[in-house]
Amino acid sequence: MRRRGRKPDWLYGSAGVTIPFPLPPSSGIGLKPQHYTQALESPPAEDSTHRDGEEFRPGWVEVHPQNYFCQGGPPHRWLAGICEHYPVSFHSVGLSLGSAAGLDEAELLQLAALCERYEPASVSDHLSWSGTANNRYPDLLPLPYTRECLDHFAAQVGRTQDFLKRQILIENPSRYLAFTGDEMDEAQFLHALCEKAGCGLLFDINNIEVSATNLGLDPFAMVAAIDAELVGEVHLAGHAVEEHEYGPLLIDDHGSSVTDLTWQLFERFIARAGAKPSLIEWDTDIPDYAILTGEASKASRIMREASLVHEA
Amino acid sequence: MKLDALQRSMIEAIDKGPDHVADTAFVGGRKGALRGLSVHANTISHARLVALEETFPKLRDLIGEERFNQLSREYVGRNEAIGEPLNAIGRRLAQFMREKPDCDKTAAALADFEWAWLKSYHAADAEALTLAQFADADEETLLNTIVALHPASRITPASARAALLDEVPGLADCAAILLTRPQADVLVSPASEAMVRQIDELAEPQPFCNLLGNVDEQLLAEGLQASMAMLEAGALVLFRQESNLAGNRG
Repeated sequence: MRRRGRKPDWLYGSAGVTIPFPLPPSSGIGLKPQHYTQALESPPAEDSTHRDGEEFRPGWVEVHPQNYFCQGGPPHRWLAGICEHYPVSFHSVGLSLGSAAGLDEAELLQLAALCERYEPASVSDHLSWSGTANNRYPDLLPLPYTRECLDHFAAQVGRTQDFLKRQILIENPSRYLAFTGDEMDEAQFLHALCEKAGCGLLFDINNIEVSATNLGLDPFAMVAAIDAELVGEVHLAGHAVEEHEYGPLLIDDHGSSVTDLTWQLFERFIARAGAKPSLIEWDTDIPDYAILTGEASKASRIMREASLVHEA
Repeated sequence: MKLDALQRSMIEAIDKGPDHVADTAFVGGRKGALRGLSVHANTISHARLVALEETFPKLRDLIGEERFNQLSREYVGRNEAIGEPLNAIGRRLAQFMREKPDCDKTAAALADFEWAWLKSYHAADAEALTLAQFADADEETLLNTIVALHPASRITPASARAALLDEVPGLADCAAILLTRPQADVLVSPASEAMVRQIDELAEPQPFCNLLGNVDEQLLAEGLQASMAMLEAGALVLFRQESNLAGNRG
């Protein structure tokens, strides 16, 4: 496997766990089976930099580990090949860390086996719940921002990190609901979670746009509230828009280009945070590889320009 | 509201509809709750239906999109479906179809076939035993070689063949359908009764001599033919060899 030896510069806390091979601070893509061949034909340049005029090559890729929860066959042949050439992030959608009944043990066992097999650079899941092991809901259901939920969620993240023997990242949710019993806002909840569990954040900026629009919040204030030091990865994606009599409802379907507002929010965040591993997520209506890498190239350019400003 | 009570109420609303929404828990009251929970209910339903479509493309072609959607919606409302992760949601679809009074047996057998195909596709990798490895082996070596079923090998009922005849030659008179994956691709082959017997025998690794049968010459010939067909299809692996075979893979 390709290994990156640099120590993570955002590692903090006292959980006693580390990420041995962090993602490079460049742009990556969510890898789908339709793009395996092209990804293998144009692996990242050794120095992970992109020069004008060159075909853009993602610096790393992300997969959903649940798609590889099988013993063998073509999915593993592809993944093994990809891991030879790219730093890989496992973005789990199935641990159900926020379930009051506790996380999904079967999913954790399978995730651990996959991590053992491929040694991914990063592992992440969501601030959400998905039912129980006997009653599964394939969605990322929202959680209330209460102290009870924080304690419970932090304990589940701690169990996961102990079992995987590594730090994980937790992604902020896209929200369609807010709870009357919330005792803190999202950023406060996420920061307290990182403090209690020793995890990092996967900061999904499209989710900020979705949540802010659906719940009537200020997306720029939400981005500004996030502690950049805790962010180990950024997600960028598109969403669907439904028009209703009460206004637009944004659906986080990852089926289109990153919106102008999400790019603006990303620029604002990167100007403050510096370059971060930043992913283009596209899970439905998968486009041509060139479109995906075009989006990744744009993220790369924004980070490069922000770095120049920082250096100046 | 405590976390477990809140989650129970959300599940109730998602499963049973808007009459069960605990609207005091959500900002925006009943309207806000319905708007948000309906997005989640749609996402959940869509994810389950898409997973079934991706697992059973041939069944969908056979029975048509409308019937398939109706069948899928009935199935995903059942406990046996919602207890499975998405990648295993189709595990009991064929059984569910058989329990229906107007069961289309060919369609149910095709669901069995497609589930078996998926299991074969995802099975552990192993090097299939080939006929070439016996090229220089004497009879005693061959008969004492212990073989096991390749992890990707599956046998499914022949009743699905009507839906597969155009794609797979030789299925018209088969006793069952054999699925194998000696390399990357899943192969579909006709299986004789003798092959089905041998696969049953191979619940545990066996020496070849046990597979061939020794009652009379006709059975012996059938057994030999079946074993050769299984080797050609890549259905077997070497468990232990009693002597050197070509390409020593013990």
